[in-house]
Amino acid sequence: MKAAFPYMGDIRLVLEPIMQELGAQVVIPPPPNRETIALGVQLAPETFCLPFKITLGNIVRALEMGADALVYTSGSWSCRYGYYGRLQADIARDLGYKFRLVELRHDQLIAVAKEILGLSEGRFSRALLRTARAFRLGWFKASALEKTYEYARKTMPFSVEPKECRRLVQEVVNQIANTNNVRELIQLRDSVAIRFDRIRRNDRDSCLRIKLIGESYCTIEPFVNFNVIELLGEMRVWVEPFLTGPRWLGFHSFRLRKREVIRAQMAAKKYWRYCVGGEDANSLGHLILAAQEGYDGVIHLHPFACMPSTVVQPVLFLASRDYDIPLLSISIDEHTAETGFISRVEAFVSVLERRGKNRIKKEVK
Amino acid sequence: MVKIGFVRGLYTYYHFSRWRFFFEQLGFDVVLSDKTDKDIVARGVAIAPAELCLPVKVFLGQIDRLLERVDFVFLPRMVCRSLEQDWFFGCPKAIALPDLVSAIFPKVDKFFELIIDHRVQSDEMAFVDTARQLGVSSRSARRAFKLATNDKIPASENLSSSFVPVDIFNKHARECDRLIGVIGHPYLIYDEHISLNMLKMLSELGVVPLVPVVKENEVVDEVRRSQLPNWFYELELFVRARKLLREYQAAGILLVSSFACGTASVMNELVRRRVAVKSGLPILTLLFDEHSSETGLRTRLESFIDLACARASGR
Repeated sequence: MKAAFPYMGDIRLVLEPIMQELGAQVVIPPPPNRETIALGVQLAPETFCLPFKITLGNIVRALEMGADALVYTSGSWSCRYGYYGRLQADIARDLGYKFRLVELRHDQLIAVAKEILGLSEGRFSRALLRTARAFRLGWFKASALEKTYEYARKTMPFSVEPKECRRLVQEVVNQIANTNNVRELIQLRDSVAIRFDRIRRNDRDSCLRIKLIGESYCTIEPFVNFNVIELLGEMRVWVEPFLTGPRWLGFHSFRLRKREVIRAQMAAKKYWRYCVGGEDANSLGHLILAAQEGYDGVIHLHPFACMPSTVVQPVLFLASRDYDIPLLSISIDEHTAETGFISRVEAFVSVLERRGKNRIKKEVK
Repeated sequence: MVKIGFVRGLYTYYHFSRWRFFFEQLGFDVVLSDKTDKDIVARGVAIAPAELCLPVKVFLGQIDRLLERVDFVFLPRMVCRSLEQDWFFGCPKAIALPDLVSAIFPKVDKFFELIIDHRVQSDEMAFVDTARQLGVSSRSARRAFKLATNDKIPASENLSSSFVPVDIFNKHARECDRLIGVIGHPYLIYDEHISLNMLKMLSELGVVPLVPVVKENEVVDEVRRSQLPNWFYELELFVRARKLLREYQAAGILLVSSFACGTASVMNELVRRRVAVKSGLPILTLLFDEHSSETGLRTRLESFIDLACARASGR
């Protein structure tokens, strides 16, 4: 089986070894780029949301490269995301590709288990062993990656030369990607703190802190959000996303760290009683938590016409007024230009800077 | 008497007769908001975030005007229904509607909601809960619910058929060869302002617009047969398209949806793929938003009708 899955940020660094360990070959298409978007836009229904178009372009590239099985997380609920797999498969079949669609759904765990068993030629003990090994490896890859990004976000605003920080991240991520040895991964993870400590510090003792919330694809995929985390890091702003690739896998695929999700959703409960998908309740919850934790502002990113995000938008603005935290909400589609995006973010940052100064003045008086 | 306001928009079009009956049984005065006009759209557009679809904006505009006239405003929350041992959901905007409304009118406390969520409670419990928010005892609420679920309530009292004589259209429908099927949510096609009076325009242009009516058992059959997305109200649209093809000799299909409607992008694609392409039936997708113009619509309809009817008479 040559498997391919939709591309989103760095989740491939975790999913690829898991699938290989389970016994499948993995086809990795080129990361999202202008050409992928053009392809997706051409094939997808016009009014579909951006993640659909990009992942569609991606999947078609993977099929061109010889993939014969598409793996999707999906489900039957209110948000369109649950139907990506089936619709994209329909579109790709019309193009003449032959493949199998494997849907990872919580209500079809038996089918998923059978799939894994099939990869181990039907031998149960072997499948079990491989699954255990695969998820152990995946877990350590994810935690090493998570820690690297965490330190990168923390260090960048305080470094003398942000490029230095960028280079180090790239280096560590490459190392993580290239090893499938759990012991090495643990070493890498534990050495991250020391390696980032060695980066030269500037003389700042504080910086603006911004929380990044929104729809998962827009928050995680750097090509879509114009790498806003590093972009702002270079402007000496510490951006903390509520969701990263490894965390997304943990939350949604394996339902880990439930407590954090519940904490966010409890905070959102006052305004938002039914979760409809697209990270609506989580975004709202994290906005409120960010206000309580003393963040300076919140950026909300979502694809244009994303159903859950558009309905949650007015609620976010209400909460941002109630909790007195500035909010910038940007919707992204295939026509969003980098310059326009960046200047809006820059303007937001300068508003936050001025607001911070005014606040200090008031406190002094 | 306590006045309860119903918004002429969204799911009211599906359930109004039942809802009105229930609340009138309980002794409330039921007020239906005005027909959509320019002012309502302007109000809705002004208070709603830009990216919402037009029916929701109109819904908000309606509430804005309705609040002056009534004591309470009824908000439905269509979360989930069970059908064939599976869950079928409302669109995200339908599920979050009361939250959205209270975020846009944060200072108003006239809202009360009906939560339809079959995962948690039956319809009866939902209605009893709603009535209790208004201070009605659960006993009389139960009795009213029993009466309201009675089939005797004439269907013609539903909003959709009271606006446009669909039944009259449909009676002649089978004999006529210039027949255009119209598939879309009732809150779009029967709202004369949003849809720019499209149904009337169609009949002026010399074709019979046909809005197929489906029964619940037909929907259930379709669910059993083909894999469809789990959206309750959108299922019906698909079934209607199928029925149009099977039972009527329509010359073409008009797919009517609003701009930025999320479910439409999936359902239109499914209808196109599974119904239209297979049968070769001409299909026209119309997207409505607050900037749609009548002239533009007329031109598109004219050319579509020319094409579809020419094809049908050549058949």
